[in-house]
Amino acid sequence: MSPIIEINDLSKKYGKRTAVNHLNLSVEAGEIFGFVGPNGAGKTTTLRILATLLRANHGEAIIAGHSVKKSPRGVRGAIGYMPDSFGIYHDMRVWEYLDFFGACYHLREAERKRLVNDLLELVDMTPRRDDMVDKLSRGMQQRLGLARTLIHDPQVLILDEPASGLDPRARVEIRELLVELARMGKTVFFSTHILADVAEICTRVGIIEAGQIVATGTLDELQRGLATQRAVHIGVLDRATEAQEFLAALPGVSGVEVQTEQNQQQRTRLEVKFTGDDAALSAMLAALAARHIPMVHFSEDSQNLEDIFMQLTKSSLE
Amino acid sequence: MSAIPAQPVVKPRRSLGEALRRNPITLKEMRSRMRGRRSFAVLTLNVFLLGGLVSLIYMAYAATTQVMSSPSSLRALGKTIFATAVGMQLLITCFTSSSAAVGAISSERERQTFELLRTTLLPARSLVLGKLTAAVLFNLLIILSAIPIAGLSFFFGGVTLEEITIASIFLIVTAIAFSTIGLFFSSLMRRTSQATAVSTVVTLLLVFGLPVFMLIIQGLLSTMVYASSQTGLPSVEAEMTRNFVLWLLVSISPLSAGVATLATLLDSQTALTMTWTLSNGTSITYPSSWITYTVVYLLLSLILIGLSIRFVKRVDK
Repeated sequence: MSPIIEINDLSKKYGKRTAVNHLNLSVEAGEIFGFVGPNGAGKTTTLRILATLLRANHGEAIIAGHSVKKSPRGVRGAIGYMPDSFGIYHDMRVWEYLDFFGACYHLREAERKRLVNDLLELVDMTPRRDDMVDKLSRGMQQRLGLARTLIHDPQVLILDEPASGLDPRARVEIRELLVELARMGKTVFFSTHILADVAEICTRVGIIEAGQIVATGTLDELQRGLATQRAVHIGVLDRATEAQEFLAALPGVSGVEVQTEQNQQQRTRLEVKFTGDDAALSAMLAALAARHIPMVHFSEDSQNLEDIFMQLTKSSLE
Repeated sequence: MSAIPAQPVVKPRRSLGEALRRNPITLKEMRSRMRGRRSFAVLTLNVFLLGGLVSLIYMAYAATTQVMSSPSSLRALGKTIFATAVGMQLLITCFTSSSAAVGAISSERERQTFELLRTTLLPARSLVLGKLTAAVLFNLLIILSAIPIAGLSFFFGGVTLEEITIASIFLIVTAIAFSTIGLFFSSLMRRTSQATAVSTVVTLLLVFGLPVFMLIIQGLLSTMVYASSQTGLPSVEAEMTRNFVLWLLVSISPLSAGVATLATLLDSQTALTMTWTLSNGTSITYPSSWITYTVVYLLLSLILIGLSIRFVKRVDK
């Protein structure tokens, strides 16, 4: 797969403050890419540059083959952009809102009529088509905003905090919509603070701090990449001391602790502090099995996205 | 570099008229404008103001039965009603035009819809021209609503086709020019309140400030022209320069240009030129004030439209 969004060495300064600092990133077509970072990390600035609303001081961004600097019009045809605030026309009906933006993309009237109906159905707002836009709830407005970004059938959706300020139900609905859009072949690039959403739907995540990407990858890749020391739990029927001594002598093992489970079964469990990849871990288990140590359980402590985020953005939080 | 084919960006070719008619901004603005109560209130107020004024003039004339029975006096009444209605409408148009357009761009910024529009394929030119067309059309509607009142003058006679044509051109140019002034400040400033304040001050200066300035300049120039004379009669060059400056100043304010045009017509001069006689008896001819006004304000409008498009097109740095 080739990247549909490619950001190379992008920098943006506001006076003396650097908002985006030599940022590099690429997103493949069809991905749901979560762009995560603390407040002021440079997420919105990056998104605004991608949406051709802001000019970068340095570097380049290419979307669907168009340069944001040299071919902003081409970029605008290829993206659907939703800012963090929903722009409201107080005196417009729901269908008029979509129809108006369709006309702004030079779509013909008959085509717009069909598209408005289809999009309202997609975002489950057909019964609200004649309602005034400003009378809609925040969740409904976000869904309408998403429908607006789709009116010209763009390849890429650039969404700035699409779920911010929504109640849990509306958040779930937006999440489901994003998954549905990815299923329809759209590339979704969105910034968010809500880590649960990222963990739930993103195929890849990029973590930005102080204008720089500090990590990118799938959630698994981030977990593995960050785990300097893995915590592995091995349950044994007996011979726990023998297993402890054996494991402690293995390369990469920094410590083994024997624990007894506080339940009816009262099993013995070894907590192994281990540094190494999956192959090394598998070899360790194979060696234990080769010594006929009766193992009944194996598990590994995993870090969630919140742990990863906290670890990677530690400097800005301090 | 991505090898993914981009969406084709089709830019339809249209004539200017069709482009304006199909401009989504014009349609949206007109729909919004006519949906609210404000437009209805403005139209009603305009008709009431003009109607009240014309009724006062009629009652004053009607009080003199002798005047009402003379055909020439009836024609004079017709002319007075027409001139008053057009003059009042001119003043109203100056202010309603600039206020109709002053929130055009800045309110999009305040509503945070400006960025949404900038990321569509709608060119900055269409955004500006769409807003301007809607504002001008609304003001033409206000002008049209005054026709039944101004039309009362036709019952009394005295109003020529030439006068009706000049009045129509004058009002249309005023609607375009002052809408453009409002739009320009709206594109320049981020907040509607700021744009409204500046636009109102500029409108006041153009409508009332320039005539006052002209009177001051007239006094100063006349003093200078006569003071420089040793024979008691000013030099032709000095007098011509003074007259040219005054003619220019008269012609660039809607109020003074309107009064000057009316005076020229009443003086039985032609509608296209105005002639001034100098102290030595030489006559000099200038284009009539309404022509100069039309040319100056249409040129100003073109410049301001160009600048507004530039401000709208500007990408944040």
